[in-house]
Amino acid sequence: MRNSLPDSLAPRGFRFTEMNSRARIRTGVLLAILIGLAIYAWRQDSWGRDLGKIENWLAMRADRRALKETLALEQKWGRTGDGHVLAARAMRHLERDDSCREELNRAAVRGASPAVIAHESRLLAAQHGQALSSPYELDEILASPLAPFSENADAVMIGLIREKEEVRSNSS
Amino acid sequence: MKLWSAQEPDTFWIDYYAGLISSKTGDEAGALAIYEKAYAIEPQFIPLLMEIGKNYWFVQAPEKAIEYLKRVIEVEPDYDEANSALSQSLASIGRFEEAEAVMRPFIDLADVCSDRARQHGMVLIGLKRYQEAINAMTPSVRAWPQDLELNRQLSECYQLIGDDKQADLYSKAAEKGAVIVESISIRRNRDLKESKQATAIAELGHDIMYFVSRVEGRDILENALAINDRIPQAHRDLATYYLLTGLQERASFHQLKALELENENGNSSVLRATDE
Repeated sequence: MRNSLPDSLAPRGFRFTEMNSRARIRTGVLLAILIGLAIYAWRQDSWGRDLGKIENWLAMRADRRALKETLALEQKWGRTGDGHVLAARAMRHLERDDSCREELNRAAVRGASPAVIAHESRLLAAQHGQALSSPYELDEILASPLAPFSENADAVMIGLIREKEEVRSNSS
Repeated sequence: MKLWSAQEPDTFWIDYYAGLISSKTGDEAGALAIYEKAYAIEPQFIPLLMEIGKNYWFVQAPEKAIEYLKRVIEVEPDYDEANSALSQSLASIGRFEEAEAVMRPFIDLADVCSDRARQHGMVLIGLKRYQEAINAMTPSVRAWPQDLELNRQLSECYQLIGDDKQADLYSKAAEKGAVIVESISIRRNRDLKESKQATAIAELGHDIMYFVSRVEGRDILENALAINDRIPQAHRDLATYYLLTGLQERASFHQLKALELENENGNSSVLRATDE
């Protein structure tokens, strides 16, 4: 009776089931990859939006608010180099130089871009009238794409005003 | 600035800085006119709102000052200076309850070196809560017994609660302080703007710290030491200040520096810089 079964049924059924399970695995793997990618994209987007929010507060010089947001960022995403760079910028605006340097050290440990860290240090120095000794240096700071132009120009302006005040006080 | 406006033609920054420079030269009304131009471009920029608020206060327009300072605090509720300026503006037009409400979250944070106890005292006097005012100001006057305003306000409080003996005590201390404070206003111009002798600045910083304001005194002393860091008394004053504000490390630094310089000097003159 067994032999009387149509050839196509048993083996085909067997083959079909085997293919189905392989396809399911493939689909599963593909789905997992897609979900992973979607989560990654969502995280990147969400992370980018959180950073953007802090950058906006910093642009408005709402530095205390920006610092609060960097703490929230840290709780949500863990400690990151970029977060520490933004915290350093807020500290620089608030003229809390020691805290600014500490944040930059932390940023270096957490893998922030060395060029960005170096630029922030340079802005801190510029804000104190240092690093402005030659027009070349000044142009370099102003033209740097590592921070928004207004960040660079503001630090330079603060430094120049400070320098002028010092010159005036030393000459009188 | 030319480069800046070329780079960003619609920027508010140029007017902001022009206003700042105008304000620094004492032309508050002129500064306000410039700031308003910046404000028309960027009404959210916190330092601009703060500057407009402060300048309205200087030109005796507290209501306008309040308007701008409130906007700062909406975004930056923890901004100490903005809260303090707002509270002061409210108190100046008799809105004591609001002034106290603004101050309340910061009162516990106040140390004996901040000017907040004095401000709080003033607001509580305005609210006729004299005993509370005494309680608020007493720790500060214990740490800084020469402060003119603290002594004046405490004398007033004790007088109003009928304790003439205490009122008299504080009144006498205030009288002594008044003489020094009078000399401070003359020296402030002379020593800070004309003379640039570090020792003269340090002496002024010392008097301001003890008789007028700890925070202002600290800043002037730090400036004096930036010109010449070999003035033992300036280090001593800063050591006291930092000790009372809990900044132990800075206090120790200035304490050691003062001792070192005094040993070099053989204690001859603590106020004189060692190399001036």
